[in-house]
Amino acid sequence: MEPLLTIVVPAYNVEKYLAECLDSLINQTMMNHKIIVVNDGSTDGTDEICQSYLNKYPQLITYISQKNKGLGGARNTGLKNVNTPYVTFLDSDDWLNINYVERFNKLIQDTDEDPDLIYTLPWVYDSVSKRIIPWKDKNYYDHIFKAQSGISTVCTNTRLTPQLYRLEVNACRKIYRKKFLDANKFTFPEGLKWEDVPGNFYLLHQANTVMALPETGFFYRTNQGGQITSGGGASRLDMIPIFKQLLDIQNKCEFNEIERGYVLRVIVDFSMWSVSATNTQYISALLDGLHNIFVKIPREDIQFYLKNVCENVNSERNFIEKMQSNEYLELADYLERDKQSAVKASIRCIQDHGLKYTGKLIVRRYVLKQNV
Amino acid sequence: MNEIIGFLNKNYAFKKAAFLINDKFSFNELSDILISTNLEELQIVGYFNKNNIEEIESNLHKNQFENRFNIPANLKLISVYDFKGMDGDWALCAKDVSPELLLRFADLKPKYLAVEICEDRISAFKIWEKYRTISSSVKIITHRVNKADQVLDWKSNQNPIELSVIFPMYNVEKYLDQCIESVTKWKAPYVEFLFVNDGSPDHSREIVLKWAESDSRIKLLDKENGGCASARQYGLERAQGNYIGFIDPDDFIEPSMFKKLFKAAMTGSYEISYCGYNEYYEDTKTVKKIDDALGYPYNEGVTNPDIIQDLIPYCRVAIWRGIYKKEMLINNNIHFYTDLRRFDDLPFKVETFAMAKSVIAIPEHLYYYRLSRPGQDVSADDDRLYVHFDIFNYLNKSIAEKCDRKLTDRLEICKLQTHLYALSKIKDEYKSYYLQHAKQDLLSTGKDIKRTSVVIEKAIGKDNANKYLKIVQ
Repeated sequence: MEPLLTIVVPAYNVEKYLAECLDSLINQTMMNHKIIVVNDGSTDGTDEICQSYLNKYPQLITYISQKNKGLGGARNTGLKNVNTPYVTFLDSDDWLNINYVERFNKLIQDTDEDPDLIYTLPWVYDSVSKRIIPWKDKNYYDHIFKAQSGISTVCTNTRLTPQLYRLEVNACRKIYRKKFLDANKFTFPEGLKWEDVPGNFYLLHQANTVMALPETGFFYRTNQGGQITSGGGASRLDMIPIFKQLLDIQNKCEFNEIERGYVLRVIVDFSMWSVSATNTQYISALLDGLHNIFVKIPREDIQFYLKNVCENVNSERNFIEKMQSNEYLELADYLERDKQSAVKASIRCIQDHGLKYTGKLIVRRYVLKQNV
Repeated sequence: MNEIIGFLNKNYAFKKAAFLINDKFSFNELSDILISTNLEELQIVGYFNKNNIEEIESNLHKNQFENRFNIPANLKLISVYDFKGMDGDWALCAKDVSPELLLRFADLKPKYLAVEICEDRISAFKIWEKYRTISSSVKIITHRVNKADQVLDWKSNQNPIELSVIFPMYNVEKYLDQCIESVTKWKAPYVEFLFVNDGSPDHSREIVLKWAESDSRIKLLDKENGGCASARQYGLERAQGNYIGFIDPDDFIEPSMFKKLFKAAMTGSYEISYCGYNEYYEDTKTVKKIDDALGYPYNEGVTNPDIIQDLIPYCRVAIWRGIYKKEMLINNNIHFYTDLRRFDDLPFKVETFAMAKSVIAIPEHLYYYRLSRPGQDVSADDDRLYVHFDIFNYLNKSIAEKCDRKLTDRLEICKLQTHLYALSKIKDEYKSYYLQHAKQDLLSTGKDIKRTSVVIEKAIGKDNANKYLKIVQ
């Protein structure tokens, strides 16, 4: 039987984890797939590991080495070289369920549909506590796809089930029909973090048939050592061009109001999370960028979002309003409430919005303007 | 169940497992196992009666008929009384069975152990101790009431040492016997005691050698004198264990201390475990319990970095009360700054709590810290206290350069606490120099005075915030 599926593995300086990842691909219960490993300009022992696997499994593995282009660029290189009907992506510090390929083959054999996207449910492996827990949206996922005891027969799309947009954005949890990607001229944004976001909305919108493999995804490794700074660094700023791309897609594809609501949900979610997690030297640039995004969002969209999609109306409304106003968050608001003391007001502000946020405000009010 | 299935899913090398089940075990759980694994031989071991077996078998065949999963070529249901283990490499799995049963089945010598137990008088640690010489990999998930699960995850290694305790040793002959006696009462064979003789001119060395004759876990390392930090670092570089502890050899401990620390750390794979300590006054022979950061949530185990980093201001400098995962120290490049002549444990404390992803506290006071002995170093009250500025220079590099605001705030609070301590001790003639440098130091990481004072007030109170303002203004 001709292989149905190609798994693209972008690898950048992952000598520590790569073998685990590739082992999971060569030990599948059904070996009816191809592997493309894209070495994205690694400077550690990644190349040697790839070569040794290539020597052992020349039929199975295609190995491509390129100059560093970032995760999106590496995935695009892999994608260009796919010649099977389906393709998926696996990050090189994660590993695949042992019967992923078998389950996928069975689904394609059994169904008379031609699914454009096939969702899987990943598991989260915490490298510190060693616990394995289901992906955050498991309940949602089980609900949407009516998944139980290893079976789901649901065949849907975003017209039938707009909640699909609510499933967590992650390029690796989906299997894509190659012709569907080609027809939509899909590529990942290059040189930016959060490269999964625009594509997720675009492809979900375009897809006619979405199916799911229940309980059978990859294992997602979290909490590796030595990455404490990456969370709040300059890559947070990439969120701004990513949001711009997302809004472009929304306009080009003429998203309906529900879809726009889900777009806004991702933007608000990511913004709130970033504002509290970004390091001090980038927070100003981030807030300015987000401000420019938020002022462009039409009032009706926001109203619809707050009414129908969002989960925590008060805090999110507050957040959006502050992002749209030029001061982002008026310490003055807090001073109004706590007239006695600026210190008390600041504490309250810290409690509501976190230190970094308040820090920035105080810099603005006390240092730059001195007018409180 | 996730961890057991994850384990079976990922270990491609073996194809045989026995699954111990209790009376509540349902067919659904069996189907979960079969859906996500690829075993050739599976034995289900339980207290079966005839109806049980027939029901499970008919369910199995129905599901295979419907093509939901593959039944292993060799699937057997077998009674606990008849179970004799399997041939070759096999895994013993179990869910919520009585731990006694697990201890008993160690005789069957499974190569892998992956089990779930409930918190019980027989602990995961005890099971591990039993299997550690039998199995090559042990994974024990402990369910706790209203608390997160804990996972003990262990693989056998060429080297049998799990825990290394380092003793930086200089002129302590008077106290050494008491220290060694208290430490060696715990007889675990997987521990090494590394006595780093820092060029000590007294008889410390001979005392250690005498003890080493009767206890092979005691090892003596000799080096030229270079100070406490260099001795700790020397030991750290030569330690073989996965966990590292430190003891000052003029102190002593409850004999159970390291067992309790190690047990807690192992049971939940924590990167740091620590206990409370006592101040022991040499002159009056009295003991005072020190209570800091031993209660909730730390006693239940914490994995939230925000809460762990709170320990930087709230936990005293007392690195000998804990054990640290070596992997964590290496990954984050945490070491002792060997040019510091004193207080080298301060940067170690700050860096470990800044980097650790999980900690657990044992709310018992198990370490005795000897005070009021002549010549003790903590009583410095002159320009020796200037060492703080060197320390914070290092920490400005290792912590503040990460630009994580919350973390830097904690460093700032730690600085203030340290400087206030020094200012309360230091003699008048050194005070103005110290004050001036303390101001510079505080401002180097917190340029916004107003904001910093808010942060300090929130963390350690208004008094301290006022003291801070006095220093920087």
